[in-house]
Amino acid sequence: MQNKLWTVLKIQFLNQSGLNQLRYENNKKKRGQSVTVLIGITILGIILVGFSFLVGFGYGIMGMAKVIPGFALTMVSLVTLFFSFVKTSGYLFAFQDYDMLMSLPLSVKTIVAGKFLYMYLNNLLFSLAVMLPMGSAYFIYSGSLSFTGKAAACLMWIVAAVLAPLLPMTIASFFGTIASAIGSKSRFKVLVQVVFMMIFLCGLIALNIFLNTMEIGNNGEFIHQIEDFTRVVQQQMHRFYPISALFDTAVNNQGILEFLGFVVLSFGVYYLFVVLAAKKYRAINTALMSKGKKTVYHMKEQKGHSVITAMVYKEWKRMLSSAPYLLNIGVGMLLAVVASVVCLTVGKSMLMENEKVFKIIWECRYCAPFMAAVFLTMSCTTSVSLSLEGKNLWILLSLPVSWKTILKSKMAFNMVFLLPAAFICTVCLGITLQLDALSFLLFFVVLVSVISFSTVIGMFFNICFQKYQWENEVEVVKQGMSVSLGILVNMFLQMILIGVSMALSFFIDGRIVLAGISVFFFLLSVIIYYALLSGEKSRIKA
Amino acid sequence: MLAIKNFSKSYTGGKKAVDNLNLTVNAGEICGFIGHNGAGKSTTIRSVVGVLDFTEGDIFIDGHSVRQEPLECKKVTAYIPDNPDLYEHLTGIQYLNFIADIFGIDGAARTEAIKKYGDLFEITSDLGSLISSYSHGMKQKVAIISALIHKPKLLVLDEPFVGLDPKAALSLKNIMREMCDEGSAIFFSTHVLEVAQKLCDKIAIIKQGCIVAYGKMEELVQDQSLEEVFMEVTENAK
Repeated sequence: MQNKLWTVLKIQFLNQSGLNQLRYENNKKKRGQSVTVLIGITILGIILVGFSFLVGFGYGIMGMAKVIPGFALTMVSLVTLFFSFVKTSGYLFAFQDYDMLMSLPLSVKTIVAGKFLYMYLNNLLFSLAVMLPMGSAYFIYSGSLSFTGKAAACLMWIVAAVLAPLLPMTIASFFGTIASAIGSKSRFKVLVQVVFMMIFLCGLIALNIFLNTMEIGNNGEFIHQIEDFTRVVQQQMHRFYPISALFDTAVNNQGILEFLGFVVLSFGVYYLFVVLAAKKYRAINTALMSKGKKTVYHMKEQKGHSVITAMVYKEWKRMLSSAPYLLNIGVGMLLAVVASVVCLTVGKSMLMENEKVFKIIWECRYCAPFMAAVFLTMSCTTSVSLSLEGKNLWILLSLPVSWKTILKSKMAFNMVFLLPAAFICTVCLGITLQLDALSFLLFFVVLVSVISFSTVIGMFFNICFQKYQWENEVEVVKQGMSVSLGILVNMFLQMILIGVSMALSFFIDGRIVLAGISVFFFLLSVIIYYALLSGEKSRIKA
Repeated sequence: MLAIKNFSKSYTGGKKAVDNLNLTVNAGEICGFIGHNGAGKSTTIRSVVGVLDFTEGDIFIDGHSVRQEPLECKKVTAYIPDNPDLYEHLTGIQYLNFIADIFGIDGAARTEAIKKYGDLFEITSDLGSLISSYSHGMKQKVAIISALIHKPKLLVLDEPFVGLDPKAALSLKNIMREMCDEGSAIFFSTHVLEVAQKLCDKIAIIKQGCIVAYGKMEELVQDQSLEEVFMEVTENAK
């Protein structure tokens, strides 16, 4: 089995990692694009490594080095959990090469393990990029440990960095499998899967809020009195992700048994999942890939629509047809809406109770729209919609629609998709912060302006990094260079805007700041918009 | 209706997929395009319909240059690829409406056309299902209907008979002939030489990117079969 597993893993790696394109692509442009992607990933990796080290270093400076092991493991696990859950459908199930793999003399267990381990390899890089730098920071500040203690902790840390993604991936895959299994029985497979996944994600957020509320509600005074703040942070971490307690104790106290428990748990749960999933694998895939119930259509009078409407509708149907697309791109918008509603329901009463807190938040109210925009701009359909045309690209290319029309429809869809969410966020935040009418309006206007910017910049990135040859939509909506750049640039920008709006509103009326930022981003968006439209259809690199 | 002039297409490394190709298809003519696998048929066809970019030579459709006025060309052209990769997330009727919207066809006209061709290809009752649930042949039928819906002046088909059941293949042949009688031009590639011989007014044989035989069917074939001519021409050509 191991040889075959290795072969399956190797083929997936060669097929999906882009390494083969780098080695064998003769087309200089395509090769250049692969090199650019590789450079981009390397830069992102370096940033992540630097960031992780600084976070660990920060804990060390504050004298809280003992928090680092639990924190590092929790961070890696949470991110892995979230992204693996979104990936399960389309990666572990209903993938394009399912027929080919299943027809080969491979056991189902080998195929499941191969698919799972390839997902693991992707997550491993992330785990190493976070765990190892944080580990370095930990060892700089863990002065109390003896040499042998340090050596043992170092070894445990390296093993944990390698094993860290296994458990969250398995948990995510388990729930993803249940979502796929439930979805496979329904006519609306994608919708059922997405709803299930959303419930899972919202459940995670709710659990976090519940645990934190519990802490404040019951032990609020305790937190103020306790001297060992480190222990409190550790306890919170352990409560949120109990496995981190094992690793924490293993590294901080050289707890060999706890470490072995962590290792056995990671491997054991993974193995159990592969065995169980293999049993129902064929049935779930068959149901997921079945052609659906046949309905008899009776010809009715058809209505015509404008070209833009037809193309926007096509984009909408495209999004609804794909669980990975809907989840990956829709999650930001959902988070923005959920957070805003939570602010309105929970936040308002909490703010009213505590005058001091309300005063602080009131002073910072003009950065609220940018906090909503952090999430909203994560949902940027334009950064992927061109690449998602994939093998259907011939339709766009052979139709009498111009480059302008194609881009306009894709950008219009992003605006139509995000504006209702922006409106909900404005209303919720506006009521929570008790804004006046003008501020209300400016909140919405500034959100529209940054969404406009994210729309055009997402389109720009997708034009620069077009990718039509993909096996799985996940390669575009999650691993694509354009989507990564879109999210990073937007997030970075919102952070800057939060800082700028906060700083400037101390000197001038915050409403003027919002108006100024709105005008700036509208102008910038218009300039980029016209620059994009000035191109030709030949910019589509089929 | 279709004029390909000195058309060449090179891929990376300088290898010419098509080299200095010239041919014309007049209104009312059916021109068959035959050749071995990899001879350059699909490259030519994809360039004609604007899917592939090219820099050498030019292609004119209804007097408009594909390079200079691509939209004008596409407005009068319909294309059916060899592998109909349609939008699988749309139902058949949604896809046909999408194409009709792009070509600006009003509701009544599209309803009539979809009904006519849907019934002819016996697919009307399946139009409410997702395209992802269709077989290859059904997808091919939807692609054909979408091509006919706007009454194109030039119909370009790449291996149109692959995957079609015998009745649908016959219907398509009849439609092709009817369209030509009404003044449209048809340019299609095929490996089924018997069909090409019966259907085509003109034939072009391509080998390694170059046209090795081109002309009216009766002049080219004379008392031989097209298969014999094809074998002779392709084996003798350098």
